[in-house]
Amino acid sequence: MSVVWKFSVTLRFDFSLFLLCICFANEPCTLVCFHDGVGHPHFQCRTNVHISYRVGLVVMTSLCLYLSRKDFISPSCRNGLRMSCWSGPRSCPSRCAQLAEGRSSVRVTEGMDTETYVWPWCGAADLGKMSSDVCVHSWPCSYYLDLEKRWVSGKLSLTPHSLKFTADRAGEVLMGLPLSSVVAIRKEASHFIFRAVTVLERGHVKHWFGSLRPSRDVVFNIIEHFWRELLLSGQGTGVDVPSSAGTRGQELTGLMCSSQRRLEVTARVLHHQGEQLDSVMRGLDRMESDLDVANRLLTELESPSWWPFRSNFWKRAAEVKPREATSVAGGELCRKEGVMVQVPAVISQRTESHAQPGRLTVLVSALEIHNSSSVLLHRFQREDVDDIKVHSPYEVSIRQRFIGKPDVAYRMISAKMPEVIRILEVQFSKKVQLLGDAAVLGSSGATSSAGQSWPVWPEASGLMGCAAHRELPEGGQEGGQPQLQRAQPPVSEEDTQELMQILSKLKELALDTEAELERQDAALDGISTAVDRATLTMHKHNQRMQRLT
Amino acid sequence: MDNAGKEREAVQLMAEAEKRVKSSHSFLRGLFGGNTRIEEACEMYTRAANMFKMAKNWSAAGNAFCQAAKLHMQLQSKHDSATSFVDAGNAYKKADPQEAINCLNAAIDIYTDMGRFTIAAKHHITIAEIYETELVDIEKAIAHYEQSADYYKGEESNSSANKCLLKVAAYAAQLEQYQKAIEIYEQVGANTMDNPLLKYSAKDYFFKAALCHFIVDELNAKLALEKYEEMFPAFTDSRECKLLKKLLEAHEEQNSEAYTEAVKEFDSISRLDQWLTTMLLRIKKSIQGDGEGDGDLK
Repeated sequence: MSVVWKFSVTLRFDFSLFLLCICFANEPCTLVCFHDGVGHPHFQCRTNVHISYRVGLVVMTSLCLYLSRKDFISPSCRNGLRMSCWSGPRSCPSRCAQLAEGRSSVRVTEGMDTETYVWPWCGAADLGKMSSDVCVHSWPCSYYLDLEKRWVSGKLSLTPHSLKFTADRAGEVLMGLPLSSVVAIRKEASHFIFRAVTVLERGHVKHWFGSLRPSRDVVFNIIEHFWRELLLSGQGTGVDVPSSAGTRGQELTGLMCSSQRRLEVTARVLHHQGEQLDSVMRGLDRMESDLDVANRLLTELESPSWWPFRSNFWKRAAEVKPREATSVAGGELCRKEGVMVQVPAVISQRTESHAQPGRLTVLVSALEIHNSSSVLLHRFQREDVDDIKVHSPYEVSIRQRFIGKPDVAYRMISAKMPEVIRILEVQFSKKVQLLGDAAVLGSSGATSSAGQSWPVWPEASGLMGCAAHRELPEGGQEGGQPQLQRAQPPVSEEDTQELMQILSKLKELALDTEAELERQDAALDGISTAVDRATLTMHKHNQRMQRLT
Repeated sequence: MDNAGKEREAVQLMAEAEKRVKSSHSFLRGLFGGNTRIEEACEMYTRAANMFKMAKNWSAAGNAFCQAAKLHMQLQSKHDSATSFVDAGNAYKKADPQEAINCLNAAIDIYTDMGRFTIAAKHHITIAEIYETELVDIEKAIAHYEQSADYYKGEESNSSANKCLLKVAAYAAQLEQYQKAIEIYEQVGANTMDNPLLKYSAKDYFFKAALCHFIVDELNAKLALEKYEEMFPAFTDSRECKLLKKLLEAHEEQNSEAYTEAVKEFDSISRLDQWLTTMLLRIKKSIQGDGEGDGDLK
């Protein structure tokens, strides 16, 4: 293996010199090593590992360009952000020019030519956010290092915009990525045994997080929730106000839509099944002709014959199970009180091991917790709530005590929690406890999001009247509430249109499904008679063969 | 305890089988007796493999199945050989994905040789899934999915072919090969459009194609949308189409709030899946990137 190129690379943010060696062992496996100023190898990597790019840490876009190789890597930088920025083939020259006002630079020297490339922390804003953002939650877990093929234990922490992994031992950040570059999040098992969450990043780098505590599903739900919120909540928009969360018309449309979707899937499956039945039929035809040949041979030959069929040829088609679209259990549509806020949240009851996605609804006189299929999990009457603990701006737990029975307690994590907390603070003034760092962060979170959540108030107060709202914390005027709902028309014109359309489509689909089912029924009849015939002939042939031997 | 016993027994069987193969080579080469010996060895390998399986020693089981498959090949029973290779692949899958792929490839060669393309296609899918989940080599996975789609098409089972093609398209889009994704979605959409049962899903495919267009270029997305509406009038009424129009409008005005609002409304009715989330996020990013004008590196 020989060193082909050597570059010295200065990283301005930590002023240490790195030496980049590129050794070509053979074409598909090129080694890239980084040495620090003293000559210690810092890390090395093969270029044929799949490489992508991670925002928030250093970028080596230009270097990669300079080296005119397809895939490249970045140097690690030692001030805590060790390695980790991969840059793919997509970097383009115009970007470098654009980045000229950056804060850090990488100088690349090759022989006599020295060129300085300057570029900033990529997405400096992102990084700023990352450090200032409140950590939503962190879990002890282990992370798989692709280069070294081993698992490192540490802590996975999630902020509203990023995800990072810190190793236990050195406290260094081994992985950091903004949620916006996540492509998919999955639950998988490594080696078929260890349950893990994998995060697929742009450019198809897969991060494995194993041995997650308290449980994998919790972590998965929470990460997915925050990822989706990135899309669904803009900077400007605040919380779902009741008007957008749940007119009855929209709820109905939602239900219809989901049943339509299910029915579409059913139709697809049915079609596939139809094709399979057809191919079974074709197979049977072929068998029959083969049996004819055998018949002829048997009559011709009086010697023992060789039987060409095997039992596994008789693959019966899967039984037809017409799966009708299951009608989705209706969430309770008849809600009497005014809804103040409704946010999607990840909910766990007492122990953290059973977190599931769902939503939290703050009503004027109660708090409702629904799971993802809109089934009411629990309803706290306003006066029954004993305390609300705010663990962090994104996490809240609500508890109701019972004498002689275990408490009912729910813990919720949501990206939109800061807004909810503001409302809870007004509604349950004394019962809300800000815990630990949440006390500090809670206030800062609230102020920072004050601009965002502002739109909530005009609308919310428009709904229930400012005065009424002021009085609520004191007395809980139940009398005033039924009026709230009446203000909204139950189903708007637009929604009816939409519903009509979906319903007519559903009907068409159902009819088509029926037609297909009938066709399949006929095909199945044909198949069963054919199978009967074939069995009979086989039986006869067997007898004849026995006589022959 | 029990497992250890099973394993020991299996090792013994393997050794015996090997002996049989050798003996058949040494004196009874080419004779009828040799063949029965090999057949016996085959049987033993399979039994050993099953015992390894019970002991959960997957790579040993895979190895035993492989041996059996090779002997079956010697005996000219191709079908048995292929089945054994598949068994080997299934066993290896749990321990050594690369080896599993080799075995499955061997099985596929045999099946295609015999003209059993549907089964070959099925194993191509298995390989693709291994690449997808175990080895994270999406490009290879895509190649295998495409191959199996071709086979399925050749055997006239279009819905299976479409299933594979849709996978390819989804991955292509994730890898930012939008042109390929668009082509596939359009093709599948056009194929399904006329089928009474499948026409209801066609709108999904057109929606996805248009989204891919959108990421590449806004104007193209508009043209494509018009084209789809012309091709498939039912698309106009769908919520997907309405959403697209709203998004295009928001993008034109560089209004990320309107964009978010539209997406949110759509999501409140039917939940967005991960693929759509990714794509919509990419478009949203382009709005924000332009809006703030900073060097937000892709």
